[in-house]
Amino acid sequence: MKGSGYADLDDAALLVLIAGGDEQALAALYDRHGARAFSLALRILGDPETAEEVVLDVFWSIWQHAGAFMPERARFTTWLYAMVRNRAVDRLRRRRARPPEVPESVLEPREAAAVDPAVEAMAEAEELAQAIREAMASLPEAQRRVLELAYFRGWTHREIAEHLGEPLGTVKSRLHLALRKIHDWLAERGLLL
Amino acid sequence: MEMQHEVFEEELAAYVLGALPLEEAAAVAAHLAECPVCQKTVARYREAAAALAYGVPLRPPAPRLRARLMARVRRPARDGWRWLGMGVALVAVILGTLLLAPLVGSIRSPATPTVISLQGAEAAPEAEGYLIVEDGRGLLVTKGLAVPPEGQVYQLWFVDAVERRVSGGTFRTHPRPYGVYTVTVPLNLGAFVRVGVTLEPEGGSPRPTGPQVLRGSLR
Repeated sequence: MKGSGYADLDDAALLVLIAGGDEQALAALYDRHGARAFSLALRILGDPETAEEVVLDVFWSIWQHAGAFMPERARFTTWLYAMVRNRAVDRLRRRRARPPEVPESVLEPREAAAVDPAVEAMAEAEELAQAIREAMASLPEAQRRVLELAYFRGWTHREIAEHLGEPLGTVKSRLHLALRKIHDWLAERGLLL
Repeated sequence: MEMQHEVFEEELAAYVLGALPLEEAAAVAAHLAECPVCQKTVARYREAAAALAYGVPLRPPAPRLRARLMARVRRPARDGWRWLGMGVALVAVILGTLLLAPLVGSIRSPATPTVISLQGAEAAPEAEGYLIVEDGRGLLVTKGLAVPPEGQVYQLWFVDAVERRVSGGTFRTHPRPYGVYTVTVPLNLGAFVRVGVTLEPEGGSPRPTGPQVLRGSLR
């Protein structure tokens, strides 16, 4: 169905080919990560059309700047999802005119019918997905909420503090503890570098 | 140094998530530039933040998205300018000024750094930045500055009273909430009255040729 040769290559190798102008390598990278990139953008933005625009922008940017990625400094997915998240949040901030609704939890029930088997079959992605849900669930409610407001809503710590009626220092501290716990949780399971 | 870690440690998560106002982000960036320990922490937090993407329910996009991407890639593309315009419009944050000087001054070394606030110019009205000069070294912190089109870079300029310009070096922005770059500061900084950042061809130009994206006053 998809170019089998490309499926065997890791992300860094695909990026080298993309930097050389290989369209099929870009298609392979999209097939591997496009669904999760879209899901993240959709989770942040709430509407599929703008989420598609974000993913299109990001993969177009990868096409133009694949050579800028430095595999010795980060893994590709860190780079990719940071780009998706930041661009989605930027769009969200631009339409800030209306008051944001209270975000639902990241721990929504999974929609099994919508899952793309080709992506979900990737063992590492599935393991990481499971682990991140557990890690989020392990956070105290107050920490999880602050992390969600910052990550998915793109709120500044001041906006979060005002919204929750908490001191700024408390918000900073919770954000710090939450991200550190997420990191440690994943690192202990060998899911981070 | 240990004291500085304590001051900054709780800021690093907010920094990674783009949740700090620019003046605080600039103070963190200035510390990060010199602190390998905090650099490692930031790298770890970036990974953890990216991993949050995996906790989101998987919703595959419509097949047309892949088709649109591949159609765009196959088109002979020189629409970089349009792309830059879209990117430039990304961040809409207007900044309270002059908060950085006391903040940086209180946290960093006894040598007081000079902090120059930069505003977005015509080609990037929503961009903002700070130029921090300390002991003849310069650190440029930007927000809302789009990744330049292929083959182009940003270039920093120091302008004197008779409009002579000296380059402070070139840089490319990355798709991150803030950009942090070391720049070259003229030894006789006192002779200059303004700074500006323009878009230039790769490698930089002997004098500005492209649109201005940031500007600030040294007086």
